[in-house]
Amino acid sequence: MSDRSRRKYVIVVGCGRVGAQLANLLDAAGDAVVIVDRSAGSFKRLSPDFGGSTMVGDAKNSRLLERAGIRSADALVTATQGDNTNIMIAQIAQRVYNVKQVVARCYDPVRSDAYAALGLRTVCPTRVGAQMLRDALQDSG
Amino acid sequence: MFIIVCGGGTVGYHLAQELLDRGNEVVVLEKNPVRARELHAELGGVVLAHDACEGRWLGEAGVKRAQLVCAMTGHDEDNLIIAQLAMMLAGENCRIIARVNDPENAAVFRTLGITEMVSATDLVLSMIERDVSTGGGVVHLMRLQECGHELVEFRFAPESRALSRPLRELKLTDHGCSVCAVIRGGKIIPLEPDLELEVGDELVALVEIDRFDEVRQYLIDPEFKVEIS
Repeated sequence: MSDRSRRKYVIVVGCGRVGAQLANLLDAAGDAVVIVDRSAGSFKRLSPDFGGSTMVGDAKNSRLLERAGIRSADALVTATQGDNTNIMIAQIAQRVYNVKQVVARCYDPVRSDAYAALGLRTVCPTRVGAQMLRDALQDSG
Repeated sequence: MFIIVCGGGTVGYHLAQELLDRGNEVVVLEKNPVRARELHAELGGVVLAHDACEGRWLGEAGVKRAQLVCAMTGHDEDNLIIAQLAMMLAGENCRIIARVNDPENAAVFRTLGITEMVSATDLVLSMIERDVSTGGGVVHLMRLQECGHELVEFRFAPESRALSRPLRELKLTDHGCSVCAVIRGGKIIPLEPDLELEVGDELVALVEIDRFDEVRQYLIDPEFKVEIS
């Protein structure tokens, strides 16, 4: 029971390839995961062993976030296809619900930096991906 | 005035057209190149086929010298980000107005720093509210951002505490509310300290934006307890 209460409660928004993979990783590591996506069909990307819960709907909607348990969430990650959607939901989590750990995926490096400067933790796959490809090129050279 | 309109849908297009007709300098940012070409054909050379959500295009459009930025797309997440980017990039005196499509997002926008919003849904709602003759209602007429006030019209429900008391007793100025006019039966009636408001009266007032909720409760909500000296 005490062990259970220490499980981290994470909401993942967006069940694309990255969101699903992240939810699988967190679930396998023992976190309590809720994954939200606008389309129920997206959840097929989750591993058959995925033990967390799924929820269909638009996470920009506060009522949905509340049903997903945002008031007791330790962390929220946004990984939908839209940078603006990710940033908006992340800001709602951070500034309306005071979620402790919030991370937003943002493909656009400029927007990623701008919001990082405002205190939002962003991850920019464009930049990270380019760096990794460059490193791979150097390694193989 | 130099104005950037972000989003060239129906709202953005008509807004840009009206603003141009009134002699303003306008740049429209529309990310869809096909739509941007249509707009270019109709409005002339003021359309940039770029995404306003990318800071560099707001910069290109001249955000630094803009006096007004309007985020008018059909997507609230885009309007939020455009307005926030504009707040970061524009000069100090630039006014920023964001369209809110889902009225529930208005509170979120406000929490996230957006002060000026327009919502078609809310406008229609306020008109409906106004037509309910028995209930009290509020219509936001105009926002005077620079002096921190807005022009508001109040209409009173029969149970409102503001009724049947002389205006001077209501001490509205203590609540950040300056009465401009009282309209009764379609006519403006003289403002005198002894004037008593009646059901159906329309009270037009300048209200401090930060104290609007207080004033609304004071004038409209019958439940609200007020000390009237």
